[in-house]
Amino acid sequence: MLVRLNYLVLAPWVIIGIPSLVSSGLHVPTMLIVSAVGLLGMLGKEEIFARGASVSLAGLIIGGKVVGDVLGSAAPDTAVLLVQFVAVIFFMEASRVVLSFDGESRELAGKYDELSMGLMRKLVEWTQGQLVGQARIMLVVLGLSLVLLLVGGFTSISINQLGFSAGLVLVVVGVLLFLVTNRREPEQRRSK
Amino acid sequence: MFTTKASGYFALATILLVLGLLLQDWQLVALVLPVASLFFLSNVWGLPERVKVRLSHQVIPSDSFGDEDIRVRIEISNETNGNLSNVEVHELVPDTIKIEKGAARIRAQLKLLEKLEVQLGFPSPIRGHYPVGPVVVRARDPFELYLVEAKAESEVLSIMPRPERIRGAELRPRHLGPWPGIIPARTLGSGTEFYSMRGYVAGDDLKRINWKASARHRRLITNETEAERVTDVMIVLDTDVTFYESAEAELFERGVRAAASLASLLLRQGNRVGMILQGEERGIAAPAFGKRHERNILYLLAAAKPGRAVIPTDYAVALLAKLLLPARAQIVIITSLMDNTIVAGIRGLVTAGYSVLVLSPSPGVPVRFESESEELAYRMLMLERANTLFSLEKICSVSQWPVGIPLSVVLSKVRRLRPMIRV
Repeated sequence: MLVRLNYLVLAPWVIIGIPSLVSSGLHVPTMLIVSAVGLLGMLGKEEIFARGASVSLAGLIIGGKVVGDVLGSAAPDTAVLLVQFVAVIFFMEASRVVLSFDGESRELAGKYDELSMGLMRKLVEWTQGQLVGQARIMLVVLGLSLVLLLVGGFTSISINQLGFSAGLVLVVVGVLLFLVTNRREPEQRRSK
Repeated sequence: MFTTKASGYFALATILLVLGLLLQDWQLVALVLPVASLFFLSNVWGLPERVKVRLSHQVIPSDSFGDEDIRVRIEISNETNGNLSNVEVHELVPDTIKIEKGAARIRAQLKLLEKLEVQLGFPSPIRGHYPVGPVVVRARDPFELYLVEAKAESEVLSIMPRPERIRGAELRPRHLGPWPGIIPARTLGSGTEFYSMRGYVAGDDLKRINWKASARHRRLITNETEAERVTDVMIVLDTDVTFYESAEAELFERGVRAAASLASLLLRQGNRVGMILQGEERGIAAPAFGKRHERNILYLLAAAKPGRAVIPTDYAVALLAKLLLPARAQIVIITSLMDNTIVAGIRGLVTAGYSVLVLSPSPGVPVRFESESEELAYRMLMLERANTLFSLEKICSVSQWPVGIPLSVVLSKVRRLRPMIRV
């Protein structure tokens, strides 16, 4: 239920924190629209709406930060920003699991034979396992990010040194690429 | 392998980095940390590096006469050195099949060395061949950033026409094989029908002594019987029923049932039987004996579909008969006779010495006509068919099969065409 209604909490929390210029001064309508689209996706079992609402929230977080930088307004707390971002990603992925559960269980609806009941039990186990697994990973992700942030805080690097910064970006992208591709190959295009 | 979603997250992280650099904002750069951590943890914890899944699926039964439910059993065993928390199994079934038990897409968790057996069931579809599968198993991490796929190739479910138990027709081809069968051979040999009498020879079976004749002639007389042999039969199913669209399916299915029943009967009698499907889709089963061959013929018939013939039926039948059949063998043509061009072909076969039996399922009268012109068209079509029948009756045995009459009754009335004596 928490996953189904996550937009009612996430949307106000994220949108209130962003500069009003991002939403053209329409905080409340933006909040209502994102919440409504998200709820429509979750309750109407339309993955595209739910995903759209989550991506909008992530976009608003990043957009808010960019506009805040351009306008020179006060920066939000980094930890809060991180928690918001992690929460948006977590609920976006959790919504996908819940909607997959809905889709599969709709296929099994009205079937009371032993085979279907067995599959239903497996589906419930899978959903619970997925949500718990995602939550566990996300908690570690959050903890690791905060620790890395603290470690990064101790090392004072002057960002004005453009060459160093560019090199740093390249290193980080390289590390990211390594993390993505280490032990894995790209997904092959499936023939229809 | 990594998924498209992983590429999306990577792109997001790169954008955040570039924005952070351009705007000189460490908070934006800090947002890369959760994404990078997510990659790291999903890669290391989410999915084992080497995933080994053994997968098999089986359609039970793989061929059927359409009177039983079909099951598909899928077995997946996790032979990976770890748990698989997110496994998706997808069995691809044709849209015409409605699954009643279970589901085509299953999601489950597979523990270390766990073997998962799932089944799905559906009522038997109508006659035809149905590819079931391939079945695909996808193991992913909880965030679906990484994926390993295994696939088992598709199997074919064949719903064949059930042959009816019918009595035989009086087939009298001039070509007979050397093996005993039920077709009178017009020569002496072991059989059931009386052929002639002769004097008793030492060693003759006492049961065959004709005691009345022996008393009359004052010496022992033995009955002789007519030999009964097998023959070679080619059944031709004309699948072109497109002249009669309103009842095309019913007319066609009767033809298929008749072909199946006749093939089954003739093979049971020990004959060598072949099958030609002639229409939009063509198929050939060369003449052969036995139960396995009966299965082959029924398998061929399962795929039969009505359609307009590209190659003229008379040409195809004449060509294949000469290639596959010995001279003067038996040809049974099952056709609705909606196209009169077949007459010339049959005349050619008869001239070549083949014995031809035409079994023609008669179209039923439509319950109502949409318009007067449609009724007129129907009457003209039936008139043309009657003319075709009349032409054929002069050159070969023809049997009409009206709706509602058992095939056995129709076939029992088939008589050999007596050659006309010209004076």
